[in-house]
Amino acid sequence: MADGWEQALTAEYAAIFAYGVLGVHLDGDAAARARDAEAAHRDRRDQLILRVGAAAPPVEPAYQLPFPVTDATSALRLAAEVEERAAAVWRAVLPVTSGADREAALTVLIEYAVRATRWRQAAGVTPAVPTWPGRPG
Amino acid sequence: MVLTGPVFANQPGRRAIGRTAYPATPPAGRCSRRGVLRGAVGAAVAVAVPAGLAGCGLLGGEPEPAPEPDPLAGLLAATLDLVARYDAAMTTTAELGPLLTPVVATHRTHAEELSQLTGIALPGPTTADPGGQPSAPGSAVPSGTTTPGTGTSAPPVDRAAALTALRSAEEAAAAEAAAACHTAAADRAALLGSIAAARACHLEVLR
Repeated sequence: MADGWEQALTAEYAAIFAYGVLGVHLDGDAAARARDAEAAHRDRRDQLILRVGAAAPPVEPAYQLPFPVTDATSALRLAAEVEERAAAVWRAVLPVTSGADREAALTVLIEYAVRATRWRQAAGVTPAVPTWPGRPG
Repeated sequence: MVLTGPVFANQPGRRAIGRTAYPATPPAGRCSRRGVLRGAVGAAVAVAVPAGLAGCGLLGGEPEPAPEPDPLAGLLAATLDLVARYDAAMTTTAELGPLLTPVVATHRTHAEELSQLTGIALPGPTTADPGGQPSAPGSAVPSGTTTPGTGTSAPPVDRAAALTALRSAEEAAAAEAAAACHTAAADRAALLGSIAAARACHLEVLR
């Protein structure tokens, strides 16, 4: 179970990194939403660091992105991808948690899945909702 | 008592999924090999069996206690209601077809998965289908099986009203799936989490 939380923390580091890269390609409302999203991931990162404690993996200076970001459209698509990958990590925590921990993990899965859908809508990606949000593959 | 362990221990190839899915419900009133085997396993393992085997006690006479419903039976039924609601909306507000089609397709897929998981057969199609066994693999949730109270000639509903009603239903459904996820066995938690998340996402689409 400690493994799941550490993977979640790494996913949050990667999400924060990705938003730093993609945010510069957005403006207006999308840019504001990217800033809000990054802030949410930072908050969750901080919560996880407290939880994981000494076992926290180090943050890397850079994380490999699934595709290059060159314009607003690719930035929006990356934002969706970032949220979906983070959602998957939190979904994986569900089977190894119970009670308040599982409720918290589900809240995060849902938050990230909804954000992914909003990014998909902004990017014009269809369907806006995958059949199984957070399910890998 | 709700079982989460495998029904038949020590049988190779029998995958424990919390609750063994029975592929088909035997005809009511007929003892099957399954019933005899259940008797042989005996008191060591209490078994959940389809209702059709009730009364086939090995020793005869005493009717078997009613099987415990799968904890997800209610969620499956509610998912089918949701599908029916969407089908009705696409009939009364045809312009919503393109918007709603992927949403209801997702609900159908979820219903099929829940059916597989619980061993509860999906309702059969309303059209004559003599060979149809709805619990067969790959069966689709039929459309238009039930229309909740819309009657045969419902007046058209405007887009905004239809979407408001669907959002309300979807929101309730999302809460139901989340509650199911909270208390589910470990091997069902992720699946139910995805269902809850999908429903929350649908609210973004229903605008």
